[in-house]
Amino acid sequence: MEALEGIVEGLRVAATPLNLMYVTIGVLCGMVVGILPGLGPVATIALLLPLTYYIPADSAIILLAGIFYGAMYGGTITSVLLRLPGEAASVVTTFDGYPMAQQGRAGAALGIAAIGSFIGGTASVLGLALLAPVIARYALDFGPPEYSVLALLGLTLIVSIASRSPAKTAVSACVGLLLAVVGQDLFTSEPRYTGGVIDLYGGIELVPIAMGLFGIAEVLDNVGKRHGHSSAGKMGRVLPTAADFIQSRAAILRGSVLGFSLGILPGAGATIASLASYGVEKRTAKDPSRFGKGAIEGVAGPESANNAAATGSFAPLLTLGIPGSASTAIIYGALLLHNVQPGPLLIRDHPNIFWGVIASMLIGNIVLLVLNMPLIGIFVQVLRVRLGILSALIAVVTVIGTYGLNNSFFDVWLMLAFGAIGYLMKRVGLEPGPLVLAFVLGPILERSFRQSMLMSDGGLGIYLDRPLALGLLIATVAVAAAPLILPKRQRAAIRVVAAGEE
Amino acid sequence: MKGRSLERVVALPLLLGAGVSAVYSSTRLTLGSSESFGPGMWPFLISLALGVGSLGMLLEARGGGAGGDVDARTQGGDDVVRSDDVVADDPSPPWQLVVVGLVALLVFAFALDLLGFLVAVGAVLVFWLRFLGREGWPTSVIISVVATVALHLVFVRLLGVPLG
Repeated sequence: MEALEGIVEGLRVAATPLNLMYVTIGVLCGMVVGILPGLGPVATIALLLPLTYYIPADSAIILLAGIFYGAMYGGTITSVLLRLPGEAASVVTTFDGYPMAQQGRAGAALGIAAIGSFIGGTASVLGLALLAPVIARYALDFGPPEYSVLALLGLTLIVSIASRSPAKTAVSACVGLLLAVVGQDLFTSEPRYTGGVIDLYGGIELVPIAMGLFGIAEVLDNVGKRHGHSSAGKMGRVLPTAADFIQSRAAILRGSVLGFSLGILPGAGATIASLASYGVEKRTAKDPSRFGKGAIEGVAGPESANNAAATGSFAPLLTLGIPGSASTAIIYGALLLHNVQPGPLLIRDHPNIFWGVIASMLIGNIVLLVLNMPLIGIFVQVLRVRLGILSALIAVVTVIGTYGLNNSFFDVWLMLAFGAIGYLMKRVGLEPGPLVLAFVLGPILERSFRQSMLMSDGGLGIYLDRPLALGLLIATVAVAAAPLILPKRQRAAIRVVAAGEE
Repeated sequence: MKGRSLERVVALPLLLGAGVSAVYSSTRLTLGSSESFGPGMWPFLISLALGVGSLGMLLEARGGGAGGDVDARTQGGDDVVRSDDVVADDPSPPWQLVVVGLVALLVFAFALDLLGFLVAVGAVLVFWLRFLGREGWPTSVIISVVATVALHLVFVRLLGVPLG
């Protein structure tokens, strides 16, 4: 009943005209950036982060969350029509979505993807409403040892499973952790790695890092490129037939459950969920040979799963204060900007934000479903905007937005430096996502680890004495060992998909 | 393969150097003991991990191993749908252009401070569109004027960012 009351309360927040406007802007922005290859949801959330400083906290998170799950819908469109995934979680959709388009069934693929996304997203919102308060209640008993292992588990999942090169991901994550060290020590206030620069005593902020790594690095990578994509051809009917729906309904249900379950794990995320769902559908199909040649279940399952996972990934963020992906890490940063500390107390101290965001997702999914079907043709036109024009505008907005956050040019210099670093990282295949996630998790990890050491007088025994910490630790070790145990083929499959991961 | 050589020549030495210097700097802070960490202990541990990770990258790069874009496409078994042009990167732009872009942004940031919003934004947009985005003059000028006015309205008038 708590969930129901919560959602009703949340609807009161989310259904105000202002917040309805923000959720609609958010999902529309998300759709557009999902369609544009290159500009992913993480970059967009980072770009809008300084702007959300000017609006109330609940509206800010509603807007940013809308971009995140809206992008899941948008990414599908180009995956199906052009075999061009607009964001990483839609890579799997190209496998069967594009063949369907070639057979003249693009409309059916897009329609079933929209319906699957809607069902997956909505089911996941309900799961979140039911589960989140329970997790939050348990989490009140978590101490520093549990928090340190949870943060470590999130990082380990990213490094060992969700990446194509564990060493490179680990390097990115370590750089993120080191950047988080800059500034005064949490315990002794001694300055660390500041090089005597006064502006660095307070530490580096998330905005210059995220905007540099995701915004400017992308802009620099597109310098000198002019092309836009010509618009795709005809779509056929957009509504799937009853037969399509019957064929896909089991896949949608399985995808929703699988997506939500994987989404609530820190570090797993939408990309892995869509891949896992594709694997499950192919394995349970009567005739697996249809897959890759336009099997509608191969679109319906993964699309439901990635939306369900995107929503599910708000569970660790809102209830534990542990973001599990780069996108949720930046939303975590947005909450901190508004002086709201995500964690088990959020539901009690800021119920308007907690339930408002959850309820806004219900509304957002309806908006997406309603807009998606009739407007697909118009959205695809976004692809005609030429890359050079887009880059110029992003570059300018990034600089002004970074400045606007603290009215400080120091932030701008820092951001441009991270832009250059991000460009180099891109060229050598180091992903910025793990860096940003580690940067946000760094202080949580360090603080809780050092507190644990103080509590246990220096031994690691405290992790063995507390059952939950021990359980989480065992899970972490298992995840770390997974790359060695998983069959090579499976690893390769994950890496193919993770290749586009942000 | 360009990325690979860039990785060997620039990135790995840089990362290893960063790891070593981070270890060194952390030892100049107080390390403390395991019951009571000094401020240097945590960065010390991470910089060690960074060193190990960079070595791992080095080994991967030598073995032509799991790091490159190439293997993601070739290792796939029959469960994997090869995604050649799905995840293929665009070729990288010439480095001279990247440097020009970065310098343009640095100059833009200075100009924002010295010349004010309208001049700086208008100029950088025209430059970027015409020379880095390869648009024609008319398009560049029209988009720049419209965008400058729109951005001024949003950031300066609406959000009150103090850039004149």
